[in-house]
Amino acid sequence: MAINLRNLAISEVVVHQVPKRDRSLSADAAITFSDAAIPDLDPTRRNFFGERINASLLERSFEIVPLPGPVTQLPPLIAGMIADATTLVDASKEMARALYNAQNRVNNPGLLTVVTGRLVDEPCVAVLKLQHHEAMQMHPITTDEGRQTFSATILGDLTLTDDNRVFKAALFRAAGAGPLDLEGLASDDQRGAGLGADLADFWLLKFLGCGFATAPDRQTREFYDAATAYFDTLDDPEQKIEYRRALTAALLAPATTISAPEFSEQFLRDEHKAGYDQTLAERGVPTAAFDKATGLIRNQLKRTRIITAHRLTIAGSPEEIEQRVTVEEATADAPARIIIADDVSKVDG
Amino acid sequence: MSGYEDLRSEYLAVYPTYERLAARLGDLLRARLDAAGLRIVEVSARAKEPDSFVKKALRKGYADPMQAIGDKAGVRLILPFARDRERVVRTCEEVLELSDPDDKREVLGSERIGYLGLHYSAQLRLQAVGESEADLAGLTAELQIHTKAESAWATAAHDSLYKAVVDVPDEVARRLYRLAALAEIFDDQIEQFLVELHELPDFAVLDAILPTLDRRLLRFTNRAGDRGLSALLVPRLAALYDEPPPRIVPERITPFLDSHEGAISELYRRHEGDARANPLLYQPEGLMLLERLDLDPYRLLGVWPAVVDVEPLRRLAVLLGKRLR
Repeated sequence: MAINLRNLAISEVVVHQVPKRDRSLSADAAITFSDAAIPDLDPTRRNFFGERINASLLERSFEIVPLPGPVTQLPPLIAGMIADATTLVDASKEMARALYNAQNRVNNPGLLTVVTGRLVDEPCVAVLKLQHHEAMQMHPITTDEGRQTFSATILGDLTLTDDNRVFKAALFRAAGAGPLDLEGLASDDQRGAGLGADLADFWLLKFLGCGFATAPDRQTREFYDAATAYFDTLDDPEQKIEYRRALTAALLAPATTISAPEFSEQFLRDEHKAGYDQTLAERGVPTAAFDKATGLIRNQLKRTRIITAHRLTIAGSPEEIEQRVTVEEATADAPARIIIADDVSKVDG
Repeated sequence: MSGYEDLRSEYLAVYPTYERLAARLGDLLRARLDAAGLRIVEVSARAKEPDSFVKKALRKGYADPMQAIGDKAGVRLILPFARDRERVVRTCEEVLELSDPDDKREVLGSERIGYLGLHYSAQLRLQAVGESEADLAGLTAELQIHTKAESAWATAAHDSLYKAVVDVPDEVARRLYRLAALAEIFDDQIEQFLVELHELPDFAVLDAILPTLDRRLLRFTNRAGDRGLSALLVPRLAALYDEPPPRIVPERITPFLDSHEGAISELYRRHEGDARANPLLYQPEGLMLLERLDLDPYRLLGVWPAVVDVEPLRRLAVLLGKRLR
């Protein structure tokens, strides 16, 4: 079932500082560990963490599940924490070691932040990698000569701000009774947020030990089927064709990933977005992003068909349909007109 | 012991009970009026001080002061608008048995001006307080209902005219009574203003939506919204619904809130004590936003007023697991 971020409540947060990988240093020598969760976490700070996690996962996330094996220590550690939140500090230290060992010398240092909380009524665990970044703080001051100006101070240790985009995040909850029965969402803001952005291999595979929840070709087909089913409910034939063209173009574009909300934001009119969301939700299409794999819908994408109310069919490549076929809306006096700008080369039957 | 001292002792014996009665009446009416969307009504309650009780008994020469003095406990409700008087009385009757209505306007008739106000004898209904406070239910208090203008005049008159140590000549007293006429005119002008205000299109939208949302918001928080912000947002949000304004809350918002009551309560509980809490959560129209963000968030940015910062709306969306672009 798709994870809904509507009611994420934060309980405890623990942070470990994980430096850039140095093969001459062991994880225990390199990492600055916390021995306790952040003390006195008040509602303001709890909600701030919750909002930043939501913002990151909403921007672009993928549905993930642990790979069989497991291939890293993370899934059992997370499952253990979900079952018993008191393991937070010890388990998060293990995670910090795993992150240090999963990184190479190119990966930036950061703060591994492990969070326990609840999603509606279920326990959940969030794993974040935060990075320091810089900002300039300015304050109005008066100089010794009595002139008004501003001071400028560089702050180099900011970690989590309203606009912070440097943020890897994953959120997990139990998906069954088994020790590795987890489901989650993962995002990587450093990889960009447009169509086609994906997750760093080291974050998803080498550290989290997870893969995508659904096979990309199946997920792509489910998305395609649900979206076209919604387009078919629209009254305006021109609009249907325009949306189908956009869908085909988005699926055939070079970007390797896609998400249902991003498609909606880029191509749908506002009045159609809620209906599209509803149709996709009814068909179980997730709002998270997924890898595009068009193998199962290759034929549909190669060929666009227009079927009229009287069962006449116009078929062709999406490009030819777009260039040569025009649909004029019906008026009070006349039915819709379909104009094909082409020569007749052959008639069968 | 003199009669004066006996009376004082007799009253002192019951005074703590009347103090409890006054406090209970004040709390109970405050809560009921809030729940009825009448947060603007000011409530004050007091037990009559022993000294005042004795002086009043002496001044009035009652044969049985304990019985005759009805305001041993008193509650005063001050309304901004005279038009709310009837609703306030109905709300009070939910928890009080009201008797002996004394409408000073009727007493004065058409040719005299002076103190205006509506008084009742009031007893707590047993079901409003429960068995543990049954001793309060049989006691009588005085309930006074004034508009702000009536209250201002009554206070000035009480402090100056009735407390004057000498007989005040008629021509001097008339100065105060002429002000009573002004208080009446003030309330009438306010009423006329409200009638005309309600005829303005945006106000009709606000009036159809805000009072019910105000009451519903009280289930989640006691923080009051900003009316100016509501005036900017509600007409814009109402345009997002196919229903006319009077049907939006009963047909769209209330069913949504009913089916998400637990989650929304949890949302507000989580933000108690949050210094950064989203201000839109504490606006009555915030409940409309919760419904729109859940069901159709996409047209919100299109209707958002240019003069209102959009960032709180974006943050509210994130809080609800939605993304606005």
